[in-house]
Amino acid sequence: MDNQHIVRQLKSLQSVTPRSEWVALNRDFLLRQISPADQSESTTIFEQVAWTSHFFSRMLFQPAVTMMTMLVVFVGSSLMVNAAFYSLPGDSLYTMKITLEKAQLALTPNEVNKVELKVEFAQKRIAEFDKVVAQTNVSPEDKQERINVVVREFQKNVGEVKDHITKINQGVDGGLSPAMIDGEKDATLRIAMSVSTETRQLAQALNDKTNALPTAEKEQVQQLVNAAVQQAQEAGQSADALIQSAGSVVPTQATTTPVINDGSTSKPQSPTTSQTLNDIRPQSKSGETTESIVGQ
Amino acid sequence: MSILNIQDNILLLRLRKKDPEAFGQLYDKYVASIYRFVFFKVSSQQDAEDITSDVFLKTWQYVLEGEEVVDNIRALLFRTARNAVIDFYRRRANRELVGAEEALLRIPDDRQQSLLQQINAHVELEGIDTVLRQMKDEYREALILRYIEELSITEIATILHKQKGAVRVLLHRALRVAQELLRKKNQNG
Repeated sequence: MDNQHIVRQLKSLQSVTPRSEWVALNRDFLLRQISPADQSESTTIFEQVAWTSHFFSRMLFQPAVTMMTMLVVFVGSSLMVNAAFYSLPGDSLYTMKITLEKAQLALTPNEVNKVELKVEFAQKRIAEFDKVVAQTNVSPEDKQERINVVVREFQKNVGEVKDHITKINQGVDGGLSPAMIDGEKDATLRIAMSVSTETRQLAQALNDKTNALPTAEKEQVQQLVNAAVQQAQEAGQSADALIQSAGSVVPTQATTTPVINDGSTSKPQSPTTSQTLNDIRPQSKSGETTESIVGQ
Repeated sequence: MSILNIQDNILLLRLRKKDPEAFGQLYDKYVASIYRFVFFKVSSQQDAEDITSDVFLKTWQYVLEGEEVVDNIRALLFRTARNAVIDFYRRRANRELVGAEEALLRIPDDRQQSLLQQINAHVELEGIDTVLRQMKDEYREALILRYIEELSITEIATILHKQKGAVRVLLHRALRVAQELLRKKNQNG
C-alpha cells in the first residue's frame, strides 16, 4: 500500500519536461552536427585541432595557443564545446567559448578564411545581444554588464576584421609576390565583398537593436555601441578599399562612389574574378563596364 | 511493448544507414525521457540540457561506429546518459573551481526554482523530488527508470549492467528507502 503511494508520487514526476524552446533549438543543432554535408562547428574545431596540432605543431608558436589546443583536445569533449556554443555572457562557459573561437582562429592557416571566421564571430555576437536583452531572470546591472561584454567582443571582432583586411590590402598594394596576389585574389575579393556587405549589415543591426532597448539601458550602452558600430563601418570601408585596389570595377554600396577602373578592362589572368563579381552582383549599376570584362 | 520494440528496431535500422530523419525521430521520441533522467541526477536545467544534447550525439556515433551491435536503442540511450552524467561529475571534480564560482554553483538557478514550482503545482507537496535527490544514486536510478520512464526489468538490467534479480532487489530496497525518507520529511515539516 505504501509502495503504491510512492509509485504514484514518482509517476507524477513525469510532468518534468525540458523547455520546448531548447528542444527545438537543440534538434536543429544536432541535425547540423550529424549531417555530413555541412561541417558543424565543433567537428571543425576538433578536426582542425587534432589534424593541425599533429602535423603543424610548429605553427603553434604561441604558448597560450598550444596550451589551449591541448586543453581542447584532452578535456574538451563535444559536451564542453556544445555547452560553450550556447553560452552567453554571465555563463561560466562564455570565456571558454571566446577562447575556443580564438583557438580556432589561431589554427586557421589561410588569411582569407581567418577573416571569414572573424565576421562569423561578429555575427554571433549580434545573436547573443538579442538573447541577452531577452533574458528576464537577471538584475538590470548584470544585464547591463552582459550587454557590455557582448558589444565589446563585437567591437574586437570587427576591429580585427578591419585590421586583417588592411593587412591583405597592403599586401596587394606591393609586398606580396604577384603569384600569391593572383592566386589569392579570387578568394580575397570574394571575402572583401562579403565583408563589405556584412559589416554594414552588422553595424545596422547593432544600431537598430540598441535603439529598440528601453531608454535607461540604451543610454548606458550607447557610447560603447557607437564605437562598435563605427569599427564595423570602418571594416566595411577598408573592404571597399581592398576591392578598389584589386582592380574591381563593380561599385560596392551606395555609400561609396563607384570607381570605374578604365585601364584594366581586359584582365586575361583573372577572368574568373570578374565572373565571380558578376555572379555576386547581377544587378550592378555599371552594367556596361562589367559586361565588357565578362565578354568571354 | 512489442510494438514499441518494432518501431525502435526500424528506427535503429535507419539510423545505421545514417538517416538523419531517423535521428530526428529518435530525438523527438526520447528527448524528454533522457532529459528527465539526467535532470534528476544533476539537478540543474542548464547541465541537463547540455548533457542530453551530448547523449544523442554520442548515441548516433556509437550506432554508426561502435564495436557492439546495438539491439535496443532505448537502453543504449539511457546507458549513454548514465555514462555522460558520470563523466560530467568526474570532470567537474577535476576542474579547478574559483571560490566565487563554487558558491555560485550552489545557488539554485532561477529557472530550476520555477521548474520545481511547476512540479509542486501538479503534485501534493510531499517533496518526492527532494527525497529522490537525497537518495543514493543507485536507488534513485532504479526508481527513475522503473516508475518514471517505465522501462522493463530486462531493459533496466541492461542499462545498469546487472542481473534481473539484482534489479528487483534494488527496486525493492529503493522503494523502502524512499518511503523512509518521505516519512521523515513529513514528520519534520
